[in-house]
Amino acid sequence: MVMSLISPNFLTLQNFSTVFKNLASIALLAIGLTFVFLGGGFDLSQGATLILSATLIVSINPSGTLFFVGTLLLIFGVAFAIGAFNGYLIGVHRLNSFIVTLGSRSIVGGFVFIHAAGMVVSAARQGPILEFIGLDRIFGVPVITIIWVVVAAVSWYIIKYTPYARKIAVVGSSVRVARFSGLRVEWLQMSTYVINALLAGFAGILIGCQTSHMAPALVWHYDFDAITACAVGGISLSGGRGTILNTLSGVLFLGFINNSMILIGVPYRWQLILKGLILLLAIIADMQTKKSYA
Amino acid sequence: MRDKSVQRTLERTYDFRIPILIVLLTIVFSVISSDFLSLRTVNTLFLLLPANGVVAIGVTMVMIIGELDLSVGGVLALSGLMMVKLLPIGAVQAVLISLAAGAFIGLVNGLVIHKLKVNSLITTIAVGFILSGVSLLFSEGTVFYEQKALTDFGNKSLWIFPYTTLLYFGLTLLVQYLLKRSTFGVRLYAVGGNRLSSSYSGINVTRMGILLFVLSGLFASLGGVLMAARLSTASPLRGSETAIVVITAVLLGGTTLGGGYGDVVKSLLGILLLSLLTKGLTQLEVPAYFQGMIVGVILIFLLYVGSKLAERDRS
Repeated sequence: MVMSLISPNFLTLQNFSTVFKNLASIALLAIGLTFVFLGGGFDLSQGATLILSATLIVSINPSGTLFFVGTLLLIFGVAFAIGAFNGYLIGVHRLNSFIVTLGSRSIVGGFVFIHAAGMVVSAARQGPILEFIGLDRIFGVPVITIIWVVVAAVSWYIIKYTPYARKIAVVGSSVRVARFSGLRVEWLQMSTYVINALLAGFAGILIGCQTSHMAPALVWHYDFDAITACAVGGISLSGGRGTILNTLSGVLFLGFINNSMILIGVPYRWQLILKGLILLLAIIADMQTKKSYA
Repeated sequence: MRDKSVQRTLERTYDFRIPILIVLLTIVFSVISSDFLSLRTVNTLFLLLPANGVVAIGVTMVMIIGELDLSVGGVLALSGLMMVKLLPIGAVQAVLISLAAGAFIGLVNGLVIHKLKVNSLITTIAVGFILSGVSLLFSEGTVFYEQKALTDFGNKSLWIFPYTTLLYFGLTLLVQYLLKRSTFGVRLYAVGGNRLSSSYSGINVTRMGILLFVLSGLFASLGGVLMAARLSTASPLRGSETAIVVITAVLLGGTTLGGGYGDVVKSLLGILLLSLLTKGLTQLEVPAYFQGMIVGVILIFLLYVGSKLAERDRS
C-alpha cells in the first residue's frame, strides 16, 4: 500500500509479473534452505553452486533436445556432488555446517573462476530451448514463473504430508531424540544438503536461461537473500520448525522490498544495510519465540 | 614397549607439526624457485602477516569460548576506509576513531549474542552484511591517500622486521601472557571449557562474552588500519576473504572450534604457515582463485582431522 502511493509503477500488472519472475532464483534457494534448516543445518555454499550451474549452462549453450537433456544431467550431477560432499561431511562426520559450507563455497567459487577464466561468460546466440525457458510465456505467464511455482507446490506437499519431512524435523529439533527413535540421522541430514544443492543448481539453470550471460564475480551476490527470506518467513534457524508457506511469505516480502527499493531508487548500499537489519531483526525475533516455547 | 615409544615420538612430532610444516614448505619452495630463500622474501612475508594476524588474535579468543566472529572482514574493510576518510583531521585521531568504531561494532555483536542469546554465527553474518553496506556509504571504490608517516609505519622495516610485524608480535606476546598468566585467562578457558559450571563458580559469562566480541572488533579494526597503512589505499571490497582465511589459520594453528583450547601463539604459527603458502604459490604464479580453493580445501581437511582427533580423545 505504502509502496503503491510512493511509486505509481508499483501496482501495475507488468510490475507484479516481473517481480514474480525475478523471484525464481531466490525462491528455489530459499526452498532448498528450508529443507536444510528443518534438519538443523546451515548452508553458505548455495550461492556459489547457483553461479557454477548458471555458468555451465551458458557456456555450453546446448542446441538440440538431446544435448540439452545431457547438459541438464551434467549440471544436476555436479550439484548433486556438491550437496553430497557437504552432506557427507556434516551429516555423517558431524562437522560444523557453517565452516564446511564456507570452505566448499570457496572451492566451488574457485571452480567458477577457473571455468570462466575470470571473465564474463555469455552465449553468443542463445539456443531455442534456453530461450523458451528463459523468455517465453505460456498463456501470458512466464515459463520461469510456472516452473518455480510448481517446484514450490511439490516441496510444500513433501514438507507438509510426507513422513520424510517429519523425520527431518525430528532430527532438526534434537539429534539425540532422533537417534533414540531409530532414525538414520546421518543420511537424513545428508539428504537435505543434496536437495538444497540440486535446487540451487536448478535456480542456476533458470538464471542462465534468462540472462544468457554470467559474471563469475557475482558468486557472492546470492549468499544472503535466501537466508534472509527464510528467517523473515519464520523458519527457525536452529532447526525443526517451518513450512514452505513460511518460506514463500518471506520470499514474497523480500522480493517486494527489493523491487520497491529499486523502483524508488534506493542506492545499493542502503539496500544492503536495510536487508542486513531485516535479517538481524528476524533472527532476534526467532530467538525470542524459541524462548517462549521453552 | 617399542610400540609405545614409537607412538610417543609420533605424538611429539604432531605437537610440533606447524614448525615442521613451515620448514618443509620453505625447503620445497626454495627447491622449486631458486630465488625464494632470501632475507628479502622473509621481509616481504613478514609484511603480509600483521593485517590478518591481529584479526586472528581476536578471533582466537572468541573461538576459545566456543563461538565465531564472521563479521571481522566487514570491520576490517570499514575501519580501513574510515581511517583514510578521516585523515584530514589528523592521523592519530583518525586511527583512534576507526579503532573505536571497530570496538563499537564488537559491542553490538556481543550484546546481541550474549544479552539476546542469538547464535554468534548468524548474528555476525548479518552484521557483516550491514557493514558491507555501510562501507559503501564511505566510498564505492578504492580510495588513496598521502600521509607519509602512516605509509612509512606500514612499510618500513627494522632489518627484516617491519614495524607493523613487530607490533603484531608484541601484541601476540601480550595477549598470550594474559591468556596464560592472568585471572582473565583462567576465566576465559573456564568459560570455553564449560559455560554452565563457570557461571556457577561466579564468573560473569555474559560480560566475558561481550568483552571478547569487543576485543575481536577492536583487533579486526586494527587489522584494517594496518592494511590501509601498508597499501596506502582502502577499499570497501577488501575484507571479503578475511574471515575464511583467518579462521583457517587459527584452526591450522591448533585452536579448536569446540572451545576451551588454543592460544594466540598457535594462531601466529598458523598465520605464518598460511602466508608462507600464499607467498610461495604467488611466486610460482599460481592464480589467486586457486589459492582461495586451496584455503577452502585446507579448512575442510583441518575440520575433519580435528573432529577425528576429538573423537579419539573421547574414547
